[in-house]
Amino acid sequence: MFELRSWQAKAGFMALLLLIAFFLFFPVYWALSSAFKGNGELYQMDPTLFPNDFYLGHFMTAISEGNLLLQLKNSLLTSTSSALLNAALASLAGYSFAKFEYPAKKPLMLLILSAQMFPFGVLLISIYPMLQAVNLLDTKLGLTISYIVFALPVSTYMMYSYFKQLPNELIEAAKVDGASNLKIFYRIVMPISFPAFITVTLYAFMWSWNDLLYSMTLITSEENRTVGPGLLLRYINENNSDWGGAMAASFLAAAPVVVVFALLQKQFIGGVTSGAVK
Amino acid sequence: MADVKLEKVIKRFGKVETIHGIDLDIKHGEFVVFVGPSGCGKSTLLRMIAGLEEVTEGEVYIGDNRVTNWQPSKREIAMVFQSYALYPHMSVRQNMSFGLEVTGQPKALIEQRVAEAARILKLDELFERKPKELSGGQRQRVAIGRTIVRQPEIFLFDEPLSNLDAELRVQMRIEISKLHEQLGNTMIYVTHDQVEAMTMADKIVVLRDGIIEQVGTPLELYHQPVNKFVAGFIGSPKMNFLPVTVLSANKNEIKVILHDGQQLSLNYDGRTLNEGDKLSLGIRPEHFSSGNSADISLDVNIDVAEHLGGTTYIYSDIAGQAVTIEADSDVVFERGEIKTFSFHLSRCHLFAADGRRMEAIAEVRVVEKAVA
Ligand SMILES: Nc1ncnc2c1ncn2[C@@H]1O[C@H](COP(=O)(O)OP(=O)(O)O)[C@@H](O)[C@H]1O
Ligand SMILES: [Mg+2]
Repeated sequence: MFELRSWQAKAGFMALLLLIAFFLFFPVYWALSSAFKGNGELYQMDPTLFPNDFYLGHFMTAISEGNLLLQLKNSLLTSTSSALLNAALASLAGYSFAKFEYPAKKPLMLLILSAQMFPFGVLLISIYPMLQAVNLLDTKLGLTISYIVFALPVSTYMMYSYFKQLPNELIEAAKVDGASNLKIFYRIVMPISFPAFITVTLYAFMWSWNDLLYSMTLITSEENRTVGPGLLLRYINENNSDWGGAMAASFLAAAPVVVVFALLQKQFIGGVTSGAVK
Repeated sequence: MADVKLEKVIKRFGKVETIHGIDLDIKHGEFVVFVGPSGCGKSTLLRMIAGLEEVTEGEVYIGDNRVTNWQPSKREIAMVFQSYALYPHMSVRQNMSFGLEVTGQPKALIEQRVAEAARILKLDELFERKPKELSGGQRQRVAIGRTIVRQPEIFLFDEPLSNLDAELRVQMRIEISKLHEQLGNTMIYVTHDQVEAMTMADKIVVLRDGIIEQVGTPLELYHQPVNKFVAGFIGSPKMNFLPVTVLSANKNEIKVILHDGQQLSLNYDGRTLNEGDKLSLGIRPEHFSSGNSADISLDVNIDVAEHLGGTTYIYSDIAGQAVTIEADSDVVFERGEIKTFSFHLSRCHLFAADGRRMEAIAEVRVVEKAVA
């Protein structure tokens, strides 16, 4: 990289970083502080930067009025199961592409990746009638499957790239040791590929957690509604007056993602394979 | 019994043939070393014996079985890889017991075997460590331990010492040799290092470009190399090759002239030769002596002299050929000095233009020194 020698250059660089940080975090900060402001303070002409007193009422109403908790549960269920299932499938497919030889391997991979070339809205056009045909419209299972459809190609490619650089000798050693292909996969390959598995899981989780379009289209009943459309339908309309509630609910909706990231970020740090070869 | 037999084994990667039809017999209990320059096909050959590489043509036998298409796990082999290939997420103990575990051996047996292997290799203290917490030498030992516990008929090693430093390499070399004595199994060992081959092998297989150049004991290869390639590959430092030109040749005698005009009469069958043919006279560095007491003397212009204490190596250039001489360690040689060294004809090998070594027809060779 480049070096910053003079203090002016350093100061200038710091200022730039601060500016970027400000742009990134001010909206988040503004939403959070608004969630803690009472309605009087929230709607006054000169906005305050910092809440005068920490008012928790918006959080109460966000939870008690409406179905926020149910929607969170639905989101958690569909996102988690689609993320895990997607990562499992991507691992199997990626491993097969990376370490086995069979006819038409390249075309098959291209075919899978080509699914990614359609905008995800277009995919929906074919997913909808398929789910309808198998009676999975307006079900959590149907939504879960459609999330996998979208995330799987990229996830497969990510796992493929990871497995590709996994030393063959490790697999061969296990083969000589007498392990079957399946045993090699879950006793040797997967344990050392945990970081990649987690990365792919998070990718799919984030995508489905933030999804609006699929859920809006495929889910019609309140009992199966996920949190994205839930927030939209409740707060984003012309006669909403509960901005504090909207901010509080948004934060409750974002919290699980933050928690998941915080828990799993250590897994991103590589070095798990060190000591295997050389 | 685990004899290994290769029959006309050919390997092609796509259209490229890298192993060109190899026949080889390995007896039970032998320590066989595949040696040759990098890329000559040693690993490929070993991996075909292991079952990790498909055999394109030909057959592989282990014991009485034709195993050409058998899975590696069925072949009663164990293999130590160049990179060790330890399972990084498992402890030393788990690494060693994995093979027995996945094949469903009883727990008591596993524990006993692992304990025994650990004792042989002095690994007890490291049992609960992960591979990344081990030194190179320790990893190597675990990799060997992993093979011992399975009590295979045949051990396969693919350049197992090449990632270790020089000192450790010597130490592990001795340990592996001892292990062979102790276990008495068949071992097949791949290396590009002829010193490892010479020190460890019962039988050396010299490979070049996917064919076997020669099979023999270390001393056979040293004393009777079949061609210039083997002669140059076995022995350290390398054998020197002096260019000579045929003056006349018949059934009983070849007359040649050296670069400096010395004429020699050698008792070889020279019927295939013609006047003017270029031959090589091979002489090993260790067979030179100072002064002109031996059969043939050369005046050597010293380029570099390496005084190692126990020995001294002198490097020079004779008739366009790099020449190495192992000289008296008590004498200090200076760069640029011209010294006389000599060697006996009985120590020499004569190589034809195509590299083949020619056989002398009688034990003692006629010598006739003359300067033209
Ligand atoms: N999987 C492979 N695909 C194509 N060529 C290969 C493959 N493995 C080895 N080769 C080629 O076969 C030849 C022998 O390789 P190898 O057995 O690894 O040599 P060595 O172990 O003696 O250094 C080399 O030319 C190498 O490029
Ligand atoms: Mg090799």
